Amino acid sequence: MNHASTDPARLIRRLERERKARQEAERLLEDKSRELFAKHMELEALSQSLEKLVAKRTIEMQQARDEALYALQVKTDFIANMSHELRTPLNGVLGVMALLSEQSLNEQQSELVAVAEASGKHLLGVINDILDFSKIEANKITLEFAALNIRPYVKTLCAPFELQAKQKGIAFEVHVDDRIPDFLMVDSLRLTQIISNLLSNALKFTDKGSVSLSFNAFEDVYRISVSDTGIGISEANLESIFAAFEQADTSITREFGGTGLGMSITKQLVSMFGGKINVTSELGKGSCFYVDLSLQTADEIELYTDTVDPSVDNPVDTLRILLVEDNTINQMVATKLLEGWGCNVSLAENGQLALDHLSKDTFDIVLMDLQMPVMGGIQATEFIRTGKGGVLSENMDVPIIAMTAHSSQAHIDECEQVGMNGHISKPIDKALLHQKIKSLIGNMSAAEQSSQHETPINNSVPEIKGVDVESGLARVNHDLELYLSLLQRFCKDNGDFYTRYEVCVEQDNKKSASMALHLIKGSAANVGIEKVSKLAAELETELQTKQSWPTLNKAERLQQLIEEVKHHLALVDNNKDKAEKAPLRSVSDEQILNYLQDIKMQLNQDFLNAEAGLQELLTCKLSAPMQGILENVQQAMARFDTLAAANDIEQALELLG
Amino acid sequence: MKGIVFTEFVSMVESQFGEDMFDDILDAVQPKSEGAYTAVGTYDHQELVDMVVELSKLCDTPVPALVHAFGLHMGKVFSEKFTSFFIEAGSTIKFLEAIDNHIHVEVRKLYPDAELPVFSFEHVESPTEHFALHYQSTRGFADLALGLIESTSAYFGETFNIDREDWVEGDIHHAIFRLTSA
Repeated sequence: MNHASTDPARLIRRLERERKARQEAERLLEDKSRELFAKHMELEALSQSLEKLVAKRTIEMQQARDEALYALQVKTDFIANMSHELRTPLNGVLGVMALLSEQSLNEQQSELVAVAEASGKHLLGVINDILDFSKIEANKITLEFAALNIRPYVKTLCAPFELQAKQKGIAFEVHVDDRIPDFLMVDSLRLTQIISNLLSNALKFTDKGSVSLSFNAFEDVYRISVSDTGIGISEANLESIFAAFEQADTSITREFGGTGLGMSITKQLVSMFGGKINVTSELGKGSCFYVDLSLQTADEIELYTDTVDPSVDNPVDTLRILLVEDNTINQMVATKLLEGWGCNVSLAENGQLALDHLSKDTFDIVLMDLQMPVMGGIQATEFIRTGKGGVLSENMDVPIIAMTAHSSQAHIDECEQVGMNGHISKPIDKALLHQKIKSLIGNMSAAEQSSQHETPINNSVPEIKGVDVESGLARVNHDLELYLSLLQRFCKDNGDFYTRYEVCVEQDNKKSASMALHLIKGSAANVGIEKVSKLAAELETELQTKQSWPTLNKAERLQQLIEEVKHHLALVDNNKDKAEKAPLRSVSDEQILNYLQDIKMQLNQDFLNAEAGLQELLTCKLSAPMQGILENVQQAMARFDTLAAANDIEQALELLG
Repeated sequence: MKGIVFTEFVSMVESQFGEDMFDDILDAVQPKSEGAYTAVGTYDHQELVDMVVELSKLCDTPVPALVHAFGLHMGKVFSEKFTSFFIEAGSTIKFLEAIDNHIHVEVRKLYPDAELPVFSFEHVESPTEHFALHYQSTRGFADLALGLIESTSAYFGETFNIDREDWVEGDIHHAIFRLTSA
């Protein structure tokens, strides 16, 4: 290898070459940079225009989504309104039919009325199905759990189906397993829907053999099975059985009728309970539908707003009742009913007219519809309770029963909050209304009834720190003894709240915790402990909306508040026992026999008389089994199930021997 | 042709034959670029051909041998400047397979006007199993290709027997290199 020469000429040439090469490299670099910059700007512009495009599309999509949601809301509201519009006159028809059926009619007339009633009820069923289906689709149904006495509930539920089965000449069996506890936390309305749907289908598709309902328990999973020896379902159809609008096939619809919604609604309700529904079937042999649900047992029984003591017989007649209702048919039906009981009825078409009445006359009870023009029920009640609108002071505390078409918890809470004393759902159950009216005036003796017309000044209202005694008292018609015992009861029932709550936390059992809080929320409000109710509500909401358990602070505070109430309650001098019930009358067996025979006779002649007779009988001292049977009679009559009532009366007669 | 070939040529000539040799080549060839090559530039490939021919005269070595030696040199430069391609490939065969599909594609992204030879390949079963690499170019630098192949296999520490077949079709120079593992 040669060493580099030191020849200056060569060196200079190399230098020149280097410089030239470097300059060219620089030029190339500049070109490339410029190119890069241009590309960069292009890219930026493209990116920005893309972003604008994305934003535009997003807004378009949001608008489209909002429009779709709005359309859905419109549709849902439309269906709800239409259902209401359809049901109102239909209830009018049914109400009138019920009244008509109690007149003396010849056989043909009776039959015609029965047909009209059946058609009307069927139509009502279809409308209710449609509304339910639509509400479930729009996720507007929430379950409301309450303690349910299982065995009587099942009995009541099955009664009409037993009747139907008898008429069809098929056997009907009911079995409730011994392991099932007495009380379970259930949304009875929805559970009834589920079981009724299954039973009615079983009966519909069975002509011979039997239909049976079983209620079994495996740990905390409850299985309700309905099996029949009917026509069965083919394998192909089994798959589509739970789909909406599809019955097994169109020939079934033609032959057996139905909207095709029932099964779908049932399935969705079962899902809402967190359960499962399944079916096994063999064509020509029969089917078995079974529903598996996880249910909680109920250790506590909710306090009710209206304290009922049905054994006290207080006359409902001569009561002055203000009926506030805008629908003319409902007015007519209710008026006839109330006048039939001997009450004096005044009518007001809206809240404002009600106030006018209440500023001129005194009344014993107000039946208040909620939705009316000019002024609705809630506002009217507010005015009454605060003495506005010229309402006479004697009327400020008048018992007010809300007549609601919607019985959601929110509505009921609202009614309680404005100071209503009770509520009854439309269409109005006669026996229930009778009972509620009696119970509201039933706590007072005749003397107190007359003193109700004077301004209620109660000097001995004790002060209990942390408790709104006035508000609590108002709910029990100022029966101080009763109120205090309710307060005591509340403190006793909830004294161990925190311990129970801790157990729930340990077991990660949000359901139980929620329910406990729900119960406290309701009962605390009823006895006038707003703070406790509010805190329980807050904690309940937190539990339901958050993923993880909230901190124990609120629960501790809740326990603290309850204990404070307990403490302050104890300070009040309350040596008296609970208000004594009016003594039961002693009657001879012969007298009971007479009553029973009388009731039996009246069942098919004058239903209301039969009811009245039963109520009277229930004011007597009765043996426990007799009491039980008569309570079944009462429930049967509440459903207008004269056959079941008659059967039970027979049982009672047999008991007497 | 890309400047890097020229700058590497200059570098090889200067290190093997001394800097004066390059001056002499320039004096004889008188290239338009005046020999001021930068790696990022682009120059007429004929200049390279002329310089190689002149070098061959001046150092009395046949052209193919020089080109081959240059190929070995270039291969080493590539493995240092563009190590990622080698690491990605992991073996000689995989690397040779990647030249057309991957490496030259990347080159064209940066230098859209690069004139590059085509390297198609085939895994042949019969009569004997081997890897065949087919070089096609308007430039007749098959010897360079051979040098690159050999340098690559040296990088991966692999040895091959290489059979070679050349022919010209029109203005395309063809060469097939058949590699069998040694």
